[in-house]
Amino acid sequence: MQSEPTVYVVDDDEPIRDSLRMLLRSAGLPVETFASAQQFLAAYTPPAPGCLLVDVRMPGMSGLELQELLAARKIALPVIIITGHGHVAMAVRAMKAGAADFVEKPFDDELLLECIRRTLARDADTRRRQSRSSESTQRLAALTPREREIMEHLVAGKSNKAIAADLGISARTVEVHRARIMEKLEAKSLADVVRIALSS
Amino acid sequence: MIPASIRILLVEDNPADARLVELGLVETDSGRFRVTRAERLSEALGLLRENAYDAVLLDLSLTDSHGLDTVSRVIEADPAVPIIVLSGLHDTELALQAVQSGAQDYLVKGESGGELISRSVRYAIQRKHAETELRRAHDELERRVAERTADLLETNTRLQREIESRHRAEDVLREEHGFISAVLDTLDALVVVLDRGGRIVSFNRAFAETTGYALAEAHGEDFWSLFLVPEEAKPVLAVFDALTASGRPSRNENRLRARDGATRLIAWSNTVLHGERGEVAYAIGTGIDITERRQAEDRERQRLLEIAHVARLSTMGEMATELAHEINQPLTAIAAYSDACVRQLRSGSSHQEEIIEALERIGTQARRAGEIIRRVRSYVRKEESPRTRMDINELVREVVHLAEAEARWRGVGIELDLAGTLPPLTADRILIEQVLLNLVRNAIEAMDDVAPDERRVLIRTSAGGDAAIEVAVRDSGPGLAPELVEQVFTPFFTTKPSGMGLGLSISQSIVEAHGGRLWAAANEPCGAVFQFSLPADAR
Ligand SMILES: Nc1ncnc2c1ncn2[C@@H]1O[C@H](COP(=O)(O)OP(=O)(O)OP(=O)(O)O)[C@@H](O)[C@H]1O
Repeated sequence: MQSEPTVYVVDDDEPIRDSLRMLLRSAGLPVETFASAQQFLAAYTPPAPGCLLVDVRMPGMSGLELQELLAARKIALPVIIITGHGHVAMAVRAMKAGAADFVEKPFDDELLLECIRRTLARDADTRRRQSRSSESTQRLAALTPREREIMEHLVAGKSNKAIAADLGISARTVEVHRARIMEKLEAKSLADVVRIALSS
Repeated sequence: MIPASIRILLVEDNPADARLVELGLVETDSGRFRVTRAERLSEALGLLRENAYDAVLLDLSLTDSHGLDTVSRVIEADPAVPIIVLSGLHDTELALQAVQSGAQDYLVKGESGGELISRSVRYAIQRKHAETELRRAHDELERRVAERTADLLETNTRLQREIESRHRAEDVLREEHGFISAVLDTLDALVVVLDRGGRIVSFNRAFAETTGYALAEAHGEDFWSLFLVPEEAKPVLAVFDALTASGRPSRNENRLRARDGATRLIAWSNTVLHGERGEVAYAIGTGIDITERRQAEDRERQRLLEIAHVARLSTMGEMATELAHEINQPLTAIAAYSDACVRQLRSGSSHQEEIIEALERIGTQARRAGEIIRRVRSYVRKEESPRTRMDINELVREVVHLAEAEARWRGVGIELDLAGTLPPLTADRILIEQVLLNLVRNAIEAMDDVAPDERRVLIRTSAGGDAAIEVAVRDSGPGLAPELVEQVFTPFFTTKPSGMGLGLSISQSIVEAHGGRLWAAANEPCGAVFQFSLPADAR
């Protein structure tokens, strides 16, 4: 599976798959279509980026069931649920279960494309953040327990003097630890330290 | 006539007188007379009984009899023998009386010589003979007359009897005629007799009461102009012509117009009456007023139609979600194709081939949506559809289209096994469609608890025996407990939380209104089979 973000369309109705493929391609989006949830699961290799456009009503496995299955397998592919016109209850259920968005049939092409683009952007963002957070976690792992303790006080916004008083050590020692922490976390400022600590 | 030898019985108690007579006879004609003598009457009567005598010479005063009585007793003993009375001088008077009462002659004793006696005897014999002859002739005549009279009498009685029996027959006929018209008048059925020209000859009380006409005023009138509504005159005339031409009994229904303009619907049985030469002389119609019955039937049918319509609406209500989804699918595809086309054309990056293909697909999808709407609309139509020739296989396909969405949604596969050739069927299309859809939906709904890949419905059409068409809907659901096989058809029986329990009962009424039958049974190896048969059109 290519790493280019792709729209995965899952719908049991052939004309809908075919028309969506044409529409999304006209808008310059890479598309792959599947007639059932099972077909999609067999073809998709995580963690390929993109989003899933799935009909909520399908024989066999429904859109909601597919969404739950992905969540259970910890596959972080955003899901856009397609509902029939006026099926608000279904849409609400899908959103509560973690769907990225929902669209109603028949589609307004502007709204649909906007929804897809927004979801793809968010997916890309998430992936970026995810990769960032895994870096931070690695760096944080290099800290000693004492250094981690002092970092938490720093993130909480305390001064060196306050930290020294709290821990019953000299302000000088806090100074040395702080320099070591900034070095290990590759942080140029206290703000960097705070961001890395929170993104993990 | 005088026998050669003349036997004489001489009855005389006086021997001297007797001797004198004997002597006189012998001396006149010796040897000719043979005389037997008796002294008493009793002796004489005994002799007369035992022997034949040509004449009796009788003294009237005997020891055991006197006078005329003596004569009559001799006549009594032998009526054919001539009697000559012998009398004394002093009683010639008595002798004359004796002659009057049957004796031939009398002789006075002592005065009559042999010559006289002899002659008297001869004459007496001859007279008596003539008398006897005369009597015989007379008797013969009498007998003939009596015979003839008897003949006449018999003829007469015969005639009498004949006349009587004819009278009786006429009475019986008259009675019978009165009887028959009395019987006809007690009938609730209408009876009318027309001649070959369609003129009214007779009708009964029921006919008179129904039409408001008395026979006297309608007699000889044209049946058509008096009693029929104009639109029906032609078809009824055709029935009459066929009847009188063939003489074969027939049936028809038509309205009868009463004097006040009201009409009644009559079901007629028509026959003919032949004349003496075997020709059709009269047409007889026997009719039953079915106005009320037909109205009741119409109301009943109307009620069924209304209930069925409500049930169809409610079914469509239940199926609304699926149907909306079904219609939304092609609309969604159409919108997406057309948006795509616009985008491609705007951006100038369009491929003509792709655009044409998309436009073709738009057309297909538009028709797909139209079909669904057409099906639903035709299904919920209210007005009674006329019974039409229909193809049951086509109807099955139509129903499968309607139920497809629900079946797909519930993961049920529908298989068809449709007979190649079926006898023609005329029925109310929508009602039969309703029965089928109801059975198919019940089958689909019965399989919620069955493993997904074992949910199957099989619809089979076949030509049943007795010129019938059979449709069977089989499922692989839980089937029916034996006690439910009948019960499921009762109104309001349901096992579904939101079911009305009317589907099967309405379906059964519909099938029965078409003269068919709907029943349930166990399917093999599992599930239920609901099937119905409808009579095919008579060919
Ligand atoms: N194929 C079937 N298999 C098993 N049970 C059936 C089947 N078809 C009908 N039944 C039983 O017969 C009952 C009556 O059916 P019916 O169609 O008359 O009404 P319903 O479907 O229950 O309600 P509604 O009139 O609202 O459709 C059902 O509730 C069900 O219990």
